[in-house]
Amino acid sequence: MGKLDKYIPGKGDPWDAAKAAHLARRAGFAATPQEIERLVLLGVDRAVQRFVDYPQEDQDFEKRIEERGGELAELSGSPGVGTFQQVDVLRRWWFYRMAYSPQPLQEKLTLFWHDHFACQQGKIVRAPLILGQNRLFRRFSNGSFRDLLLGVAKDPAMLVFLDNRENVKANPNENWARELLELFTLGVGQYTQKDVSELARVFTGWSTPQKNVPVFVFNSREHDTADKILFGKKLAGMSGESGMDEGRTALDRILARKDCARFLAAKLIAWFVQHEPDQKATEELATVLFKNGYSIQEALRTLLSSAWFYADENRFVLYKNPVDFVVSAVMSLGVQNAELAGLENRARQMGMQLFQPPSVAGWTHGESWINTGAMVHRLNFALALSELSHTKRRVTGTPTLNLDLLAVGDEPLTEILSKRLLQRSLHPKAKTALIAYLEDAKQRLPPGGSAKSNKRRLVRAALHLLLGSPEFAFS
Amino acid sequence: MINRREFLGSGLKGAAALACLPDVLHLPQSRRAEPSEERILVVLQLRGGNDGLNTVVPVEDDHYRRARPTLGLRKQDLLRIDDLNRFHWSLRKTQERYARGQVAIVQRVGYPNPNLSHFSSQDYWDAGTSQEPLPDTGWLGKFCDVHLEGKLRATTMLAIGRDMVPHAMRAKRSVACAIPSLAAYRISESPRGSSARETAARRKAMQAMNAGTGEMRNQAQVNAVRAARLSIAELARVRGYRPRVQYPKTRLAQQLQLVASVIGQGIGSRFFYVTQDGYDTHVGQLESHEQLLGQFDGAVEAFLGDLERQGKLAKTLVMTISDFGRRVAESGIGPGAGTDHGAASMLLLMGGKVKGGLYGGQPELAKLDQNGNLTFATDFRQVYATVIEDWLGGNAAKVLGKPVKKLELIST
Repeated sequence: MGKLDKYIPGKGDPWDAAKAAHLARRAGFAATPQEIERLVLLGVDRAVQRFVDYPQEDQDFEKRIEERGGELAELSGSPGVGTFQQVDVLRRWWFYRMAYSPQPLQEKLTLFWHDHFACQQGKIVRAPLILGQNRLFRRFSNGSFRDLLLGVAKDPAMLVFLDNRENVKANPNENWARELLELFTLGVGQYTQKDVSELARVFTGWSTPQKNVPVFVFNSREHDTADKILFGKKLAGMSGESGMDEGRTALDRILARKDCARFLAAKLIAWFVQHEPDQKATEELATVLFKNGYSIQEALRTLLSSAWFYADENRFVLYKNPVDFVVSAVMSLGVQNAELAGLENRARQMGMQLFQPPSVAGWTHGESWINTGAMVHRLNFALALSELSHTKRRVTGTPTLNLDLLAVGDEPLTEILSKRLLQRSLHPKAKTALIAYLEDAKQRLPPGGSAKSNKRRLVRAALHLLLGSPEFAFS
Repeated sequence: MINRREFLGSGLKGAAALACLPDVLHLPQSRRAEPSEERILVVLQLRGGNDGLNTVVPVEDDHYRRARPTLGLRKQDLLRIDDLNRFHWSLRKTQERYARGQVAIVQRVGYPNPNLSHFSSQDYWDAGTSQEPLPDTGWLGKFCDVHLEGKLRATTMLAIGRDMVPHAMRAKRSVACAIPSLAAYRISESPRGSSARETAARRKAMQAMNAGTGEMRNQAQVNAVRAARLSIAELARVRGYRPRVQYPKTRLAQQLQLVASVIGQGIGSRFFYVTQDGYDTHVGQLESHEQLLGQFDGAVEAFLGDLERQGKLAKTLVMTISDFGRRVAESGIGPGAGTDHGAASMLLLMGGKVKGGLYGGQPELAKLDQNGNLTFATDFRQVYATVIEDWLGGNAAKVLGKPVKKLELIST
């Protein structure tokens, strides 16, 4: 019996709202009541399909962004040479996509690849290169890792970031070659320093015409045409335009090692299931990747359809990274114009600035996110979000909440809002404290307020406290 | 997967981690921070792998000139250390302090079998060992666990200007605070315009939300929220500090200014970890390295000067660390020239009671390892052991897990 055996709903183990919510939180960012209802009706197979099967580009969504106008629309067209400031627009544009995309897994995977092939805006500087890379990640997000890897090898942002532009036959530069093996494909210990220096020579000449031009060029004159030895095997040197084939061959040789599939499988499990990947599950997922031409779509279909994915041991065990935290919060609250709520700065304060990972190794996940500085900002964000202005109307230009929609029903407020934000119950002590606070706050409501405005005050306070709870911090 | 270390075993997870901290929240403001005269260590991480050869240049070594046609620095531009070595021209103030006997340079520092990965190497330096599997705790965290029981505060270990606690400060029974900036290090308890009663009630409720233990509760978050509140209270005194010297407007200088302000108020913080980024100079090294060292020189000089005026320099030791040195031979051409990852390199100890001078021997450029890198003569843990015992008065064998031979770097 395998870890990743398919989950078959049964009498004692039905496909229910709790499992659907788990899928929505992990394959997307949040589980809204509407989404949960829809997924339950679909059944597990079609619910998983709803996430993993998506087109490279969703025309309707792109159109929706363009119709919004303003700074976001510009980025869905084809921008020219950008300026430094545009990176912040790019961040808002991406937060908009994460919060509202009809294909949430596409955005979650795009974030995964950004973390995997982590490039820092501070070194690349120009926004068009970063946008180009982000689009590359999105387009190939659930495709074959082979296509993505080749795309990244030719990606101008990566060529600038890891200095392959300076990798020339007279004086090879190892930066890209080393991280390609260490961080992108095999992992430390699976190659030798000799492999790194030979691989650097293989990629000599992969460049861009100028530093900030988002175009790939193969500079055959800078390519080292001598034979190389990779993983103890000869790799024939080639000249002229065919010199580029060496790089393709080298990537295939890396991908032909099962260690590459293992490395990737472990990262996918750490992102979607548990921080410390189970070895057996990793091995099985590696086999799925290996047998399916490194198809991310098929790997995730298997993973998200497995009984193990839905097991109790894997529920609420991922500590949300800051982007996940802010996006899940605005989605759970149904915030309108969320991209204008300063999410890019909030996430930065919590330790995760988009396009500026701490290093080429990406962010460190799990409990590393928990420290005093980050907690201060998580709590402050919880308050700020709960205090957004309330409106029932569609408005533009400012983030808003509809508080009346959040607390519909006859159950006590604590129950309704716990269900909406956490999809589980609070720790009994915390629940008691929340109820006690609300009872006390009721006594202190300003005299003369309407029943509606009184209720909104209480809803805001409950949202603040729930967003700040340890329960909400987990997915 | 062993490429990155997840800190799941960190001290924050244990329910007991904070139980021993003084509950300063229930003390009056004036008593929240006890004055302290203990010795202080500031670890200054030059992240990315500083090029030791162009920091302390072996000007008389022909191999140096031959290996670096573009990056090789000319003797006449450099600042004298001794007959064989000179500082990079950016290190003007560092050289002045060296001449006054306040700087120790240790050459040829490293560890066996380097794999040239930034991340492995940073982990080794932080863990205090290059022996896999690495412990969950870092060497500073371990020091606190071993030696400071009963004396710990929420602000004993501070990672300044960082949004993450470095592995070096991970501990089992102690806690480290990450403080990206002091100005933003406050908790907004209630909406603007709230009554005092509402604020108190909301704070109490949020504390209760972040309390309690059990399977699904996250002890690390519960502890971090508590440590944040304690440290904010302890740091309240620091907010009024005005520096005694003019600090440059660089990121590093701003961070060191914050460190000086905490030290100046004597609230019992003993370990600081500060990072200067950007030393991974694969390309364009001539220009970027000059800038980095210039920023280093200006920031450190302001910091040491500030401490001097506060009368705290003799209580404070600054130690630089870096992933590794860089390849002896340069890569790339012309202004694009840079260096790949190297191995053994130099480090600096400043302030405190260091015995100024040059230690560790000349780098052997004629006898490189099979990757073209410098070999080491002093294990980095020997430097740590010296700091642990001769500066901090601890037991190096207990902190580092085994006895290590010390160096003679600190005056008694």
